Amino acid sequence: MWLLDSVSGIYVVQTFLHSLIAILIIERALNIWHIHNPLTKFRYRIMTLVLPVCMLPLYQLINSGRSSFSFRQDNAIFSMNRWLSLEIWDLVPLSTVFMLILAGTSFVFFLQEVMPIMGDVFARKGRDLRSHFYSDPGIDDLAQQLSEKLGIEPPPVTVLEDSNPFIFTSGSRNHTIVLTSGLIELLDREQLKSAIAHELAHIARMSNATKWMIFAIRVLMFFNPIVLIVFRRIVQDDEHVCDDITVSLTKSPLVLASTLKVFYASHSEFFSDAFGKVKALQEGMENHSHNLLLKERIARLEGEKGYTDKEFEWGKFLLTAAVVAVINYFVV
Amino acid sequence: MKKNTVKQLHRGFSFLVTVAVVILLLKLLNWLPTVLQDEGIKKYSSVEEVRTALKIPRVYIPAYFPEYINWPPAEIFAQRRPFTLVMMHFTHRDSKSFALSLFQVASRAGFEPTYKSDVLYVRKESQVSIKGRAGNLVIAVCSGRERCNRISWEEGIYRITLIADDTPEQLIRMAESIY
Repeated sequence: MWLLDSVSGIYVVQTFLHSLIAILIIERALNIWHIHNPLTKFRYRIMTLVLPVCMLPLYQLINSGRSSFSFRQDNAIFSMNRWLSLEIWDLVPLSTVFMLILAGTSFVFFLQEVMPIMGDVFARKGRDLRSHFYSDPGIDDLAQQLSEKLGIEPPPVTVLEDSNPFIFTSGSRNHTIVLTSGLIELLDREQLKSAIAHELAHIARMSNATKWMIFAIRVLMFFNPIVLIVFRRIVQDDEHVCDDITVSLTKSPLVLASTLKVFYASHSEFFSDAFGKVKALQEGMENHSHNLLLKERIARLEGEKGYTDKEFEWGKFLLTAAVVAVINYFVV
Repeated sequence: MKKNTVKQLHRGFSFLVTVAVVILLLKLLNWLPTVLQDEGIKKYSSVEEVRTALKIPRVYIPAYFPEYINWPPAEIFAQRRPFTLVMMHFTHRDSKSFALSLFQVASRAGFEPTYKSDVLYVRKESQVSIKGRAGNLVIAVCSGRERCNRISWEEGIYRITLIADDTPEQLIRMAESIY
């Protein structure tokens, strides 16, 4: 059986198990250590993604017989093979059920990550947007002032002639903030300031580069449902960190909350042509999940559960990482 | 200050408890399949018992045994899941020390039978023919300077392995008599 015998099967099963154990221990640790700071949460959750990917080859290097029968029998505290070889009413192997879960997760990965990229590529095809871009001196000034406060180089800000309210930062090293004319029409000056401050916070944090890194792990473990959950949480933590930086610049969480509501109400149908039913399912899922995340951010800002600047405690972080690494060594 | 230390200790203890619970839970989950579906290695008292328990038509045994080997096997271990495995250990008639081990393992499992003691070095490895089937013969010395030669080949869906403190010729003769 592929899952039990092959190297790729062992990789799939063990990375799944390792991320499951990592998420259990890390989420509990966040709770026990009373960690509410989004930046610290972000760092802990990155561990859930990175450890299973990095540690498995290291374990094999330390002990090449780690996946052998004798290790499973004598040393392992949990061997997944025991469960995968079980049969439900002597008919359906549990490994088939496990494969179905992996296939379902892979399908969600396709809908959430591959489809939007494909949609983006198709939407851009034949559309020359260059003539629709222009710059706004008022917004440039705003970005300049906020950048100075953050201590970063002011990035170029470009306005796109489009009625949909959008703002995003492009590039991982040379950043450009892009916002639409539709957004400028919808927001007042204070709200616009919050929106730009939030994008600048992403630039200051190099969020795009980090996102590419964690996205690479997401791609590498596209079959893993735990990674799917953790990836979303990490993105949300990053948004919280940037919200807190924005609030520290503008001193008005409620303005940022009202800005987010604009996106909550109208986020949809930017690339809603083509792809038919699958596209509709993907859009529905994406919008639902996007709105849920926005809702949570708005509630957080309105509830004033703001930034609590506390020194990062390396001891607790390393202890948690060590515990996850050691337990996972004995999980095959 | 004191209150803060107590709080930290309490949190540290909670973390330890969490780790202990996770380990216990994993151990419990590891044990559960053995109860649910009769999984894992068990000790049996006879070959017939193994045949009935594992629901397999054939347990391979040599028809020829050198005189010094005691019959029946001193130990029989077997498992049905996650893959079929029958393991028999035979002793010397006089000294009661290890003389022969016989493994019958589902080929798909890729299970590598272990020697009774650590292999010090392999003297020679060669291909041999057993009833027309390709077999692998390993001449080795184990710790305590004991011979631990080994022969293995595919027999239907199983891989049969014999490890014995005997000459290669005797090993091949036993292998060829297996039915």
